[in-house]
Amino acid sequence: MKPPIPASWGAKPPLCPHLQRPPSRGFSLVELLTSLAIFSIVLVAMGEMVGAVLNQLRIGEARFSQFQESQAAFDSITRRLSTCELNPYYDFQYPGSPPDTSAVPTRYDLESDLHFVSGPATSGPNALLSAGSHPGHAIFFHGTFGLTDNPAWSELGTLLNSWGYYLEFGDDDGQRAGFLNAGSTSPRRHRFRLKELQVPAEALRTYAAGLNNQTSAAGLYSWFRTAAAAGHSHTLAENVVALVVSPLSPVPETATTEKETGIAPTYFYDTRAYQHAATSIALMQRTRHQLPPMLRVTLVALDEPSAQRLAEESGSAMPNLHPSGIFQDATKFDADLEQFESALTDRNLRFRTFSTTIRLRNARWNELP
Amino acid sequence: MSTPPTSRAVLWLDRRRSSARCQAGFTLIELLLVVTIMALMLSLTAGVSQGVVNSMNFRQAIQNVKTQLDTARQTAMTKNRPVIVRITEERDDLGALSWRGVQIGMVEAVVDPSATGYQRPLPGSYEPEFKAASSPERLPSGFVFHPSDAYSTLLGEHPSVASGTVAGPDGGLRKYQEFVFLPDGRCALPAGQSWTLTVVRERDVTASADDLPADFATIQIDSRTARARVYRR
Repeated sequence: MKPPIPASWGAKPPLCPHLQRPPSRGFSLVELLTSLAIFSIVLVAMGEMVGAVLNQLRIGEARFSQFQESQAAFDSITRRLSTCELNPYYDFQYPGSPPDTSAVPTRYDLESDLHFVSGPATSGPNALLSAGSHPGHAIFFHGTFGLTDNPAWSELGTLLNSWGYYLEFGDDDGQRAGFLNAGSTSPRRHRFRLKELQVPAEALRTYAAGLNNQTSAAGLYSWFRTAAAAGHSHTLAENVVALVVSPLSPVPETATTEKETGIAPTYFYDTRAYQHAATSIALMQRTRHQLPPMLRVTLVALDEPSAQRLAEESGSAMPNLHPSGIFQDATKFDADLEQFESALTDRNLRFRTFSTTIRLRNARWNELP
Repeated sequence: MSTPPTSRAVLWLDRRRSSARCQAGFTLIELLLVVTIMALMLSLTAGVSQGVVNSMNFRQAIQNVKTQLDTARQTAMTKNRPVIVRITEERDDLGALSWRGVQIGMVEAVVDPSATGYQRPLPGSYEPEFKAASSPERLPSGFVFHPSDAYSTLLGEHPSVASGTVAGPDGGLRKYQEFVFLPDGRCALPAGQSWTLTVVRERDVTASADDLPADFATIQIDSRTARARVYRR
């Protein structure tokens, strides 16, 4: 059963188109090489694009994890600070120095066995830390955080600890494992670090320092200075370049001359300032053994690529990010912060600012003399 | 069978004649040249991409461990109970056993006396059971924790690092080391020491078991803040 041959078979256009097209040549070697070159250029361009995208991704990732760390540190600071303790009480005041307890007491006044102090870490007349690369402010206080290294005490959740926060610039040779320091195993990391002073209950030196009988800054501040030097400090977050602690008091809306920064005009706040005549008499009496009712805490953190760039520029020397006179006058806080941030922007450093006002739960602020 | 044989032959002859006339085609030399150039370019790209893939794998390995440790810290704080991190031995595709697994979990006591696994709380022998919160996270193939306790101190013998064996899915016993993240954002590890895990390539360790290879990453845990920090060469 053969299919019939169509009648129009001979009239159909031929099946092979070659027969109709004008004669065409194949590609020449030169054409082929040109196309290969173009192709490779496109490939290289695409490769570079992918590389750039990956790089951006890496930077974004680094920034994200960096600011995550700073945020966690900031949260832990606010949590710890809001529950800090001073435990003040009223007691007789005797005349004389040292007080003559056999005499007739002259008045009642606040007393405490603990201490709260905040202010510029190494600058100004009342530097809290005596030496070292500590830019910005520092704060030292006490709280019932229950920290102990003694396993038998580990369930005692309300043990008293001394605590503190400050910045430090330096390498991390002392903090990391020894084998990383050997030779050139791992590059040194010169960074700004937010340090947390955690003194376990068994190492608490506050009572042993006999604070109530001290009359000098060296004696009054020994409890945290020795603890910081004894290695009770830990890195809470890296690349924190500014820590500003500003004690605030609520101000009635009708007040005209009174400012909310009035209780710490130079950021310096010491519940025992009266013992070493650190501020004006009126201020010393106002802040005597009283926790400030509110604290404005501000952190400025860089991201890791920026910090790396900064470390490459300045090496082991502390980069001068803090112009002299900045964060010294509490009334100029906003202007100072703006100046600080614009200086970071000018140096092409990426940063984020964390700021909040904490209400101290245990502060019983009253303005009665 | 649809077209008559004579017309097919004519077609074939016609096509052959036309291509011989109007299409030059490539010579063998030209083709070989092009193929060689392409092979050369391919091998160049392959070399580069191999390095990229390798370093991405390494980053992945570090990131996996760090994520597990961060999760453990976070879980301990949000659930307000201690979280255990176990470093376990796992088998690779070839069946070789080495330290390459991370698992987080909690201690779960069975309090119902009629339930299975109930233990009478007798002093000395009572050990509540480890309950895994997730399946063990394994390092990407080719990566292990350095088994020497000079570089991975968490794999050494310490009173605060518990060790033991657990049955694997194949029935064989595998060693593990475990330590605890506390609810107050610390680790139950003494603060005076540095606690590290070092991630290395498996072939580097099999070559020399006690040395630190050139390419490594050390994850150090600050026991006071329970934060993991990565140090890379």
